[in-house]
Amino acid sequence: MSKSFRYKEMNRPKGGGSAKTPMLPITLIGDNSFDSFGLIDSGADYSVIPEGIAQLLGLKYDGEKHPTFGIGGSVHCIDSKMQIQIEMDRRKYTIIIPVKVILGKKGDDMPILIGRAVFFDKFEITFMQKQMKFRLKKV
Amino acid sequence: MDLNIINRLINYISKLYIWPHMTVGIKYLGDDMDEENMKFYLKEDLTKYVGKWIAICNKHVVSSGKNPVRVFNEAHKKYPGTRPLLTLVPENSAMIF
Repeated sequence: MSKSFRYKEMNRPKGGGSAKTPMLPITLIGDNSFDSFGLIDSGADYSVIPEGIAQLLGLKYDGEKHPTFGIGGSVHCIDSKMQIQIEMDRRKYTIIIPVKVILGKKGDDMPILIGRAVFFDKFEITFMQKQMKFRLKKV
Repeated sequence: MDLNIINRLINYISKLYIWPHMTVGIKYLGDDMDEENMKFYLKEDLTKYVGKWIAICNKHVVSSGKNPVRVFNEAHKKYPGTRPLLTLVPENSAMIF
């Protein structure tokens, strides 16, 4: 079972070209359930969400606060778990993935990132940059 | 029973009893993903919302702002009973995390 998804193209203002990103349509399940997009990030160990998203879903994140590092610097996070659903050809796959909740307003500027932990064990992901597509295959 | 209450119940039980990181057998008891909203997001030029969270209902951006909770609640108020698409329109600069 596999499905291809198109990259999302964002135009930059003032003729700055465009950015193309592999955004995966997902449904986030919790106290409030809603559809969203997760940026597939093969370089990230873990999935990352802003605190506001954790609040909407009613996630439990009262553990120890710790710094998480990336090229953009470090942010304070708390570990949690999030339930997501992916639809592929009328089949729905629901998985629970570990997430790092970015605390405070800093996280509001970041999209939902889908990192490798658990998600990449459940799906094989092929990036087809030239065609602006990526393919997900259930393992 | 209200569908939202059933989903909350399933979510609560899954947190208690389902081994973390495994694929769960329980299906989310809601509507299918709204593909029209998804297509709208992928195709539409959303340059004016760059750096903001947006909520899409019925193929329209119904609320936007820097705080995802406020954006969701505003959409929920305007379109009660519908499941919005809530997402960030990423900044235009190269995204390196």
